[in-house]
Amino acid sequence: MAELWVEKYRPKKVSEVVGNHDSVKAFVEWMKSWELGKPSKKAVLLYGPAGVGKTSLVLAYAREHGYDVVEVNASDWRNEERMKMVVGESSLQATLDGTTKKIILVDEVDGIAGREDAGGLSALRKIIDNTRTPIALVANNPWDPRLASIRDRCLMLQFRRLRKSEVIKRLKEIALAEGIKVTDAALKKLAERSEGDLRSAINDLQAIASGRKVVDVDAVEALGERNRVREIFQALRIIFNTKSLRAARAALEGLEIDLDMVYAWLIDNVPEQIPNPEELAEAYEALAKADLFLAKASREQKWKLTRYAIPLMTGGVALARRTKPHGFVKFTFPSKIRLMQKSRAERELRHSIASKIAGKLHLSSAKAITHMLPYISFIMSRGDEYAKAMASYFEFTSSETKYLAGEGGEVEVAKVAVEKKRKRTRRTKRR
Amino acid sequence: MSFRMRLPSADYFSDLMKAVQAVVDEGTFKIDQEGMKLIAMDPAHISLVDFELSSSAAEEYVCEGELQMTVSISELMKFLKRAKKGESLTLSYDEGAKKLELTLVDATGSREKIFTLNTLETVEARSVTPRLSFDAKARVGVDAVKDAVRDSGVVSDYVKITINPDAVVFLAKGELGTVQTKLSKMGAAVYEIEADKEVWAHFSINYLDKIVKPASSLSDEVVMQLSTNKPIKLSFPIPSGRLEYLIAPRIEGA
Repeated sequence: MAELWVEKYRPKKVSEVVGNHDSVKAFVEWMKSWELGKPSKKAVLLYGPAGVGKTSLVLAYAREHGYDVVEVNASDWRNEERMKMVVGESSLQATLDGTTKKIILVDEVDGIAGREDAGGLSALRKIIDNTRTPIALVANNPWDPRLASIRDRCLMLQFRRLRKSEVIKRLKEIALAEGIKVTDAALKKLAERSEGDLRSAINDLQAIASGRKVVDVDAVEALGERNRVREIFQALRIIFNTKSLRAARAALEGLEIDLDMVYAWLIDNVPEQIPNPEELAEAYEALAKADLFLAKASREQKWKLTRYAIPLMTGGVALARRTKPHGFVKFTFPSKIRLMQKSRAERELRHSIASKIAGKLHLSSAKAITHMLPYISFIMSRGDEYAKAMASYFEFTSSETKYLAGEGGEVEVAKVAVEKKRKRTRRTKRR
Repeated sequence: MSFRMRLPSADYFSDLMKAVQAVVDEGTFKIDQEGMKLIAMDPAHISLVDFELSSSAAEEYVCEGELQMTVSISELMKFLKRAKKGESLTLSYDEGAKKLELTLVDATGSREKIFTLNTLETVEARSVTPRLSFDAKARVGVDAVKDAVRDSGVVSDYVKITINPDAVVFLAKGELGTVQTKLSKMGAAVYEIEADKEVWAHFSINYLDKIVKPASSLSDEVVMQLSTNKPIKLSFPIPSGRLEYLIAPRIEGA
């Protein structure tokens, strides 16, 4: 078999890595900080869509600077024991050449889950705390709740889809090196098809270039549509239309969305999709049971419980629905997620305030919010010298001060509530 | 291209493979007229095995050209475990068919067992040992080392190995306490020490034990070579072959 071009043309130096310049620079600085012995964070999490150079960057840096790379791929077992044995041991030992120039690369961290990899993530978390070797983690979706504690320990570097011009430029270089003529229109088409995924673009180019010297648009079009990741809508359509448990369960295969998200989609769409109240009750019953499993799974990190949750939430809903609504009812975006997105900035602000209070007052941040925030917010809203002293003591930033002082914040909400109450009482008095 | 080798004792080959398995689960043997060789690192890149079985170990050895054979050592071990005492072993490999044939014949030649193992796709991997120089060398009885490593394991996951002109010292410190084994140059367990100064480094007991245990059934002595905070080399002298290991030290400080 001919060598894969994606391997053959993998960048050999950091300067050859295409695109994402800021993250590339930050990675190099982070490695430099390790070399100086004072890394800000012990691990780095490179995240973003497939084929944009996350792994390539690590390998290119290692190659350029003579580092040994210890790789743990998705194809390896990554349960607690293996994680400790390979990553854990390796993170504390020097290399066999007698140097300490080593990078540990854990690919597809978001794929460490399920019953095969039980305990893998918590083991990884502990390893990061104790490591004496830089650890680079790679993920497509870093926002998986299971990765929360890992995220806190990592320098987060985002990789975006590559620009069309970047993909085209690289494809041109490869075509030149391989002695193939590719028309500009074909290059453009390849880049468009790839959606910023350079790896798939290179694979496509190699596939159509085999056996010809000239690649034109027609050849690219002959490739057909790429089989992309299944969308949530497709999964929902299957769940709400199938009558078989097996098909419903299979609906979630190939879906790159976490279960909690799928659950949110289901619970918001069930009432519209199932008109019959008795069947609706049945569907909710199944979802409620699935929720119990999901909650226990995430609370106790027992991800194997998801295998009970999945059939319940997919099959349970599918089998409950025996009558269909008339006509097409479109799926609605889960309100919970919409709300979370909307309030994200505010939540982040509150979180940062809470952790400052928690740090100064030796509380948990949850307690800081429930017990302290209302009072501190009240004092801050007066805007006098006490408020100023308070702000400087807690080291609040100006936006935090503003939030606490009540511009759209806590106090405002409270005021509105009081107002409403007053109006109501007045009205009753009048009566 | 193909290769054929008959060894008088299947047990011996089984022991050799156990020693290789201490480092890797999957290995690529390079086979030529001189013999079969394997250099491999474990997935964590902490230990390396450098193995060679020369053609002189075999009663019959036929090899045309150079070939590579990748096998799962743990699968191979399953077959070798079926070998009875006194059985001879013939290995034959056909590169085209990608199959390794193991033939076990008992001493009287009355029974012949044939096992066929599918070999794996060869993946390019490290095939040279790093060049290292060592400041100290000690030739020590293997059982003394095995015991010292095991004893250290009582209190810690790591052991500090020191070689000085007078002794080889194993020191482990843990929350429970400390364990120290001193093998003096004058003692029966130490055959030879070559050292101008004291050198030392820390090593994972897990790795040491994994390596020393199977190797101890192949050799009575071990040659330890060390420099301060550098990898340790453990050589187990075996007849018509080579069995050497490197283990990376723990990173100090930080």
